[in-house]
Amino acid sequence: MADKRGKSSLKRFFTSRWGPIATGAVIGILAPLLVFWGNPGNMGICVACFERDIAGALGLHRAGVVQYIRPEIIGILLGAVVAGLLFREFKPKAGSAPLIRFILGFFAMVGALVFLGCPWRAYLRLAGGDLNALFGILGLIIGIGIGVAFLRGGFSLGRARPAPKAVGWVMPLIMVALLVLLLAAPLFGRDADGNPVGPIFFSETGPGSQYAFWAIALVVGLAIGFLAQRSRFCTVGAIRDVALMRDPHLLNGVIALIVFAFITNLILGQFHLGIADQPVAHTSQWWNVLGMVLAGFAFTLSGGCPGRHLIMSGEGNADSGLFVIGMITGAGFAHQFSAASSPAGPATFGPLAVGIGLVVCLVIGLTMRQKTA
Amino acid sequence: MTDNVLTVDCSGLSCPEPALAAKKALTSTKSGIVEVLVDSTTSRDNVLRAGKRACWAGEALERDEGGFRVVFRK
Repeated sequence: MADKRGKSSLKRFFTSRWGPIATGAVIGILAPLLVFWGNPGNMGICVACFERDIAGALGLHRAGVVQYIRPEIIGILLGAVVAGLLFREFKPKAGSAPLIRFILGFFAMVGALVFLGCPWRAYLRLAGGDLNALFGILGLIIGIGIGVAFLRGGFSLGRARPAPKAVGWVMPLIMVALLVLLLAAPLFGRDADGNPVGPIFFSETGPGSQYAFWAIALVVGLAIGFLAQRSRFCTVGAIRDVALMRDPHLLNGVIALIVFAFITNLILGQFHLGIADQPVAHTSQWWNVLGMVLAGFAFTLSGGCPGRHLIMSGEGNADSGLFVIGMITGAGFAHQFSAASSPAGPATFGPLAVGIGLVVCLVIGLTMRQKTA
Repeated sequence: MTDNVLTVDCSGLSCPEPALAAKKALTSTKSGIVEVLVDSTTSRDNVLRAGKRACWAGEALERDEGGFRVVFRK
């Protein structure tokens, strides 16, 4: 009985206005701590960068500096599974324009990798003193604004339908498989130059070689996934809902994230105000803006930020699962086709990839509409 | 006399469509009953919040077939 009461007051707290604020605050404290414990600078958690690292670890791209199976991603998704099961919100569903969602995930990742971060990291970079992030956030707001205009005009990816349990378990089981691959680290041999031939690759230098101890990263991910499932924390919904509904419910969470990350960075001595020489960032402001215009646009059409899609995948939403797989695939392509930026600036085909992505999203925005009533 | 009930079926739609459809229905209706069908607690809460902002009193009822019926009256 007491347990039931405890659960229901917990339920009320997280769906109240304090839910997103508490979640943002926890991410704001834990992400800089992960940097302190070994993650790359201003990259305590970055859903885009970490899925890109996973793509690299699986050999989907060969950028040797960004290959690692990030336990944070595994933890976030599995934390949402735990919360979903506990609160009876694990409800497998599928069928809302799956292939379109894959493509949106693909190009959202391309845009995020031109900027060098997902919305979570854009806010975390700002809270670490990286002023280039302001241009990324500006782009994000513009991209979300374009998406909102399409939503107002009747854009819809259509209905998902309840699906068998097995459909909902695919993404959680893929995460378990990734955890096994991380810990087993299989290696089939080395080539003539002594380089590992895979099947799993781990960076020896660069951001991919910087990480907190796997169990810590996993537990932090689990905690964040649990809280974000309860509170529906979403960094794209935050801006979208203010523009569309005048509703600051989710935005409060983002503000809490920035404030708490700023304070934590100050305490840890990780706050460095400036534009040049920021960790895993470039100063090409046009492409910081335009990369995130594409990402924000694609996220908005898809219904949420990449963190939110991990959470919904954990609730059994197979369409979000496909969005995540689209992002991982997009990361593979972005690096293989020289479209992902580096600290030196945008890559050769980054601008072209952003242009293609914007055209694809415009076509999706113009053609996908359904009668909702 | 029974009130006319305007039903908006948002089940299976992703964010922010249910809340947006609820807002549209509630701001274009002066009085009566508006019910919004959703399939998740997230959409239920979003629709309730949208109703509150549009100054309608709403309550959510669980449906036998799963999901919720959010009923607004004014």
